[in-house]
Amino acid sequence: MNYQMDVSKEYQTARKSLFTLSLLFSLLFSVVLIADVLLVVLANEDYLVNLIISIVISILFVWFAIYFFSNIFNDVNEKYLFYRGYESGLKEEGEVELVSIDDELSYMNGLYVYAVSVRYINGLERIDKIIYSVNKDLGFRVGSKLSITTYRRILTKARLH
Amino acid sequence: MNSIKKNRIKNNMRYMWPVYLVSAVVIAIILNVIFGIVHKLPAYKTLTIFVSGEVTDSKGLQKDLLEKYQDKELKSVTTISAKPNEGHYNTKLTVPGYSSADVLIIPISKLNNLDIGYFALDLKDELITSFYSGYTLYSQKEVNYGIKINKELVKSYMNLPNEDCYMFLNGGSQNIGEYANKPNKDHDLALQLVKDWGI
Repeated sequence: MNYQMDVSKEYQTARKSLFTLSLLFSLLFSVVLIADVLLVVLANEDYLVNLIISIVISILFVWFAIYFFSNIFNDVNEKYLFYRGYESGLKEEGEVELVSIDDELSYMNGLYVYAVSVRYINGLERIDKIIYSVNKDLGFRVGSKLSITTYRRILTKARLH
Repeated sequence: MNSIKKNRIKNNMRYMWPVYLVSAVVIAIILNVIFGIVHKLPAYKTLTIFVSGEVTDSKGLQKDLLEKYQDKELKSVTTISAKPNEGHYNTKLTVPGYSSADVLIIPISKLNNLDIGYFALDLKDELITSFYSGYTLYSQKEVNYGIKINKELVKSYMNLPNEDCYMFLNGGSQNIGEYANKPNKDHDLALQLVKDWGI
């Protein structure tokens, strides 16, 4: 029984999402910019109404942009960077005993993950560690001995030892 | 996943609210400046008056002049005032007065020390004939520059010194019709004002 994260597919999905978000934001920015320019150009000497409309539109857009880049775009970008760096990134391999899988989701490296308690086995030495998995159901029973690979503490491969 | 997202949004708002606030203020200021620059009133639709004395009712003055010169598209009236006995009178007269006032009202006691020709429009015979025939003029070095102001007409708007005062047209004004740098006989608000207030 094996568990393997489909990194290549996830990378392509994240890349597409990043491109789509960038495109949508650029379009929205263009629309707001054109609207503002038209409001300025088409206003006459009594421009108060146009000024208020322009200020409201621009503030809403900038607030959205701040939220967009600090949340939505940032999440997708982190996810994209995680998968992009996977091939050349430093991976950790080891033999572990599966102790438990947490029920609650956490956020890490742009991914929503579950905390997995494992006990690393190194000869007679045992070290308890927390790693993370994007899937709650790994298909292994608690107590199973596994050979695992992690990247930035996230489980990418596992098989019964 | 929703509770994590909610918490992250909550945290975002908790720590980022100053950015939202500052950005709103900055945008409002920037747009206000842009609109102001693009739709700045042309010089021929504004009238700036330098008053040697105290302006007591600038709103009333503005309202009355806007009504009076409505057909000439007057949109804004600004006054710059300085009392002749104040220390910074000369500074106010030479800096905002010379550079931006269309009409300058100056008491006779101050005129002897001024080189009027430096800023004032030379009232040539042709101009006097068409606008100021019969008015009391002020001359320096045999050149006519000023028209005596009728204090009774302006006493509800301003307190002028207790002596004769003269009005001078700024040579750099855009409101002096054909005598301006960009001649346009329709843009003669300053000429009209001096005519209406003169005696």
